[in-house]
Amino acid sequence: MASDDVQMVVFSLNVEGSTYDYGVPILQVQGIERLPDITKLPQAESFIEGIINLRNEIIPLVDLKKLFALGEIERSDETRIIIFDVDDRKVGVIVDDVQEVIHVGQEQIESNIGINIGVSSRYIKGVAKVEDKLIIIIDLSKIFTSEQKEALETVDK
Amino acid sequence: MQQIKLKWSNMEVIKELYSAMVDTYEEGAVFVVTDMEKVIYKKASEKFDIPKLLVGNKTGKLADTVYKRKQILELNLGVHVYGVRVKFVAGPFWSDDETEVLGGWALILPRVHKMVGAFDTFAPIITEMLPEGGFMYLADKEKFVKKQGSSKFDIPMFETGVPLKDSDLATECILSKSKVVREFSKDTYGVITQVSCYPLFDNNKQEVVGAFGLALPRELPLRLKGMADNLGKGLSEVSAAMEEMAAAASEVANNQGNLHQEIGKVSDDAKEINNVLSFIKEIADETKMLGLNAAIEAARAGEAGRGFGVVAEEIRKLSDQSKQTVVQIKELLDRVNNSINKTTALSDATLENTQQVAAATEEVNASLEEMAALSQQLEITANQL
Repeated sequence: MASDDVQMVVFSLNVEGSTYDYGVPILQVQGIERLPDITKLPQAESFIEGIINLRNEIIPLVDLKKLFALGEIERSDETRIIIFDVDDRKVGVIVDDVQEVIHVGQEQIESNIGINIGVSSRYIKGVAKVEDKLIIIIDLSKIFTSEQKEALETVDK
Repeated sequence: MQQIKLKWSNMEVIKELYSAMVDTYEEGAVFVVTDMEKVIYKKASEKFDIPKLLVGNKTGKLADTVYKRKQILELNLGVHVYGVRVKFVAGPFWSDDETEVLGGWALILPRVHKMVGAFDTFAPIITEMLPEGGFMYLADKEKFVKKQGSSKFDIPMFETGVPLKDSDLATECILSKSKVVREFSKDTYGVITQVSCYPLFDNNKQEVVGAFGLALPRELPLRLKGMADNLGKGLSEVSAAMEEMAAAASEVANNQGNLHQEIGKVSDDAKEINNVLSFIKEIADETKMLGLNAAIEAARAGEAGRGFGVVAEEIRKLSDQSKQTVVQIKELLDRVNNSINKTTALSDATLENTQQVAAATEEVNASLEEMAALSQQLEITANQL
């Protein structure tokens, strides 16, 4: 295990029958949870699914597929939420599955994809080639726009 | 005839006349002329003769009677006189002045029963007309005189001219003066035979003069009876076999029912296993999450958490393996369920077949009952033949 290895939590999103793998740096992640019952909020932004009570903390949940404009999460046994901090405030994103924690060497990571991917380039840090899979590396701290952050701020106020 | 007085002087003409006439009688005749002591002339027909009546024989009581009464005598004589039954017509020869009897004449005609005369005409036709053929015979009081076999049935050892024995049916018939019927086994004439014997009466209906016998083979009715017997036995055997089959079919149906229940239990157990598997999978999922979260905590702890991170990784791997095993077991369980479904379908089909067999068996049994009734009818009919 080389010292410049990055540990990543790998999760997946199912889009139109295919499963795509994403990776987030482990240090951005607070924890993995099953999806509990969600309390819907009236007139909330559409990317906000609602709020949950996790060990007495109120946490807003975001459907990552909605956020990424890839559709909508279909709840199953494998559905998980990844808890992370946005500006010292816990937020959960709903994903289709959380698979594993892997160590990725810097040499496996391709930062320049070579095409202009528009808006999403803000939070896609690159692609990791692990075995025969491609893992899209996401920077969780950049997935929300400042408006979205504001919307999240207002959730529990 | 009573008025005619034949003259001794005309004897030669009369001799010639009668000699020509004897063969004109259907059954033949014998003509004799006697003087006062002996037979002096005899002419016998081709068909009938009395061999012991010879020229030169002394005349007997019959001639004496004629001489004494001096008139024509007509008598029916039994077998004791000439050995056969005859009609005896005799008269005297007169002197030319019709005062003295000089000799006598006699015309002797065989007395034959109508049956005897007709036998050769009807017997060959009737015997052939009988469905199984037949055999007819005639006997007088001493011997068998005529026989007629048929192409289908004959008794070759039977011979005419053979004297009657006490054991013969004809003897019994003649003595009892009534119809006698008896069945004979195969040993007697080669086939089962029914022999009927009827007494033949004289024209005056008082004296039995012989017997007429008819032997009929009884093979067909007997064979029919045998066949009816066999049919009856065969049918009851088939009926017994069908009952066994019905019993077997209902046992199969029972067994199928039990099998069905057992399969149901296996199916229930499989469902239970599925529940357990879901539970195991849940534990594996939970364990995996614990492993992931442990890895996250370890990463946060930095260098100090490195060892713990390895443990967390192992936990996650184990949970993955558990989950994989659950998937494999589920696949196996799916196969088991498939087999159960197939077995259930087969068992249902078998049950249906068994029910069809049971229904068919009932139909066959009904037909068998009808056939058994028919075979009984057949047996009764055969017995009546």
